[in-house]
Amino acid sequence: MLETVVATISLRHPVMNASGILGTHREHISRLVSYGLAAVVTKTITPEPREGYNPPIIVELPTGGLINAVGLENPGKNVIKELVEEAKKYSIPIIVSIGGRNEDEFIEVAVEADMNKADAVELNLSCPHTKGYGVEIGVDPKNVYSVVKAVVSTIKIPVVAKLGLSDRVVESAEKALEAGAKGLTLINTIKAIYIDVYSLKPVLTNIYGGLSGTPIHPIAVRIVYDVYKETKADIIGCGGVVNWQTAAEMILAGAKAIQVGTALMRDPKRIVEDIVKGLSEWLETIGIKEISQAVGLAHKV
Amino acid sequence: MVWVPRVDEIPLSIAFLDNNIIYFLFKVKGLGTETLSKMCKGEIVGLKGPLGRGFIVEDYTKSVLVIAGGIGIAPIPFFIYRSKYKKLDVVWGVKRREELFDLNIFNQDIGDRYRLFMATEDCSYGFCGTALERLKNIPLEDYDIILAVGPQPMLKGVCEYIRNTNLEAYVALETMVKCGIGLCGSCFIRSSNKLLCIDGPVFRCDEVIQHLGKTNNSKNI
Repeated sequence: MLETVVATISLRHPVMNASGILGTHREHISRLVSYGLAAVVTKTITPEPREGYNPPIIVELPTGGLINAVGLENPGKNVIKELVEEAKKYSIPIIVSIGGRNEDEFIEVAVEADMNKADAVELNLSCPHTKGYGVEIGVDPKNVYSVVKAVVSTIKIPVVAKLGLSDRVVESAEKALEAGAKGLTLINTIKAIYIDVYSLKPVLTNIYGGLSGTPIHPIAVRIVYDVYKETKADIIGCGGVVNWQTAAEMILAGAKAIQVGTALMRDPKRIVEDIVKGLSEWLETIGIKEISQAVGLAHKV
Repeated sequence: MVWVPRVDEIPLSIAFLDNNIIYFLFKVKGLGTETLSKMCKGEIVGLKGPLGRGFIVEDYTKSVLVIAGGIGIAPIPFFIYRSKYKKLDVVWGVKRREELFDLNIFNQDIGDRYRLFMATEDCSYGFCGTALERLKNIPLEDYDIILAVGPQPMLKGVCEYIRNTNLEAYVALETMVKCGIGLCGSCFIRSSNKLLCIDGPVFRCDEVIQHLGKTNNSKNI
């Protein structure tokens, strides 16, 4: 009942982790698998190793959610082999998240993922806090087109574009699809600042970070809704999913799968189990047999 | 974790807790700890925690042996204060006698709840040698539980030394911790799916023996 296919990847249920939660070492992959996810997404991998920022890098906010600026810390593309091997050991699909400063860097990592038979790549065109990466590239639909096109023309495995909040997100989504993306992950964290009122200073070392968790959920749902309305694309909904209700909203807005990040902070196994179980019961309650039939239902008003 | 505004966020164990005052013991190693050491009363730090799982003994029938290397001693005053046991001996090894201090500074009452065996590597005080070498002069059959806190090579040495005994053996690991809430993965335990900041910092020797044999996480990003 919960089986879903997104960007040609078959999943036993729609829940995977959001990129950035663990996902840079073999041990991380086995931990993510132990959470009960249907697929795992690696942390964003760049061609060369990156050290990232000094702590504080992730802070829980008094207003809810998290703010983070990790700085795309990762061991570089050579780690992809062990990450894919580990996921295959458990027969769990693995999506390699890719970061780059230009087309060539995206291609370089994508080729490594393709060679090692990852199930898909997710292009990070939306990280809001690392200079030269992410949203700095993804905010312009023309860039989205050229990066996606470059990667799609080079590798055989499916390409997913991860886009963030921007005024032109629908246009960017259309460009990604036109360039050959098989799916879209919507959305990334949203650029934000958290200031400590006693020390009178921004808390994150990088000052700016990405806001995640429940505060961004309605925004993420809106973007999934808008993009689905215009494109009917395969969408992975991401942003503030913490329980089955927030997951179901994403599906009704048009997502075929969902990613959970911030909520994995506490009792991750229970969170995943609750979402999966809750979605099944919800489908029964509303009288729908397959989750695919619920995708985008909110558009039929 | 202790946030030193605009400088660092440092994972520190609570050394003692009394009347709403939290005490930390730390060694100045980098800019973060150096800045923290120079802070004065009235200056602001941030706190995130407590993180991970605490570790105390609560069994009046058990005899406990603690092996601490250097500043690994930091959480031991609170451990002594909170634990319930039959007997507690502490082996504390440091490089030079200048590194030693009174473990009862936070609470003099804990003084009669344990015996202390000190060792210095430069032979300036107590036993001449490392904490591990001092341990090898102690009859292990007198104890039920052993807890080691200190640098990775010492922890590895302790786990290997007691491998064929019936002791319940635990080590408190020190690994780079960056987020402290189980998301960034910096503090993963090699060859396991555990994270120090969530599942630790105290583990059974058999849970981390492979990790102890490998390079520190920070050298491999």
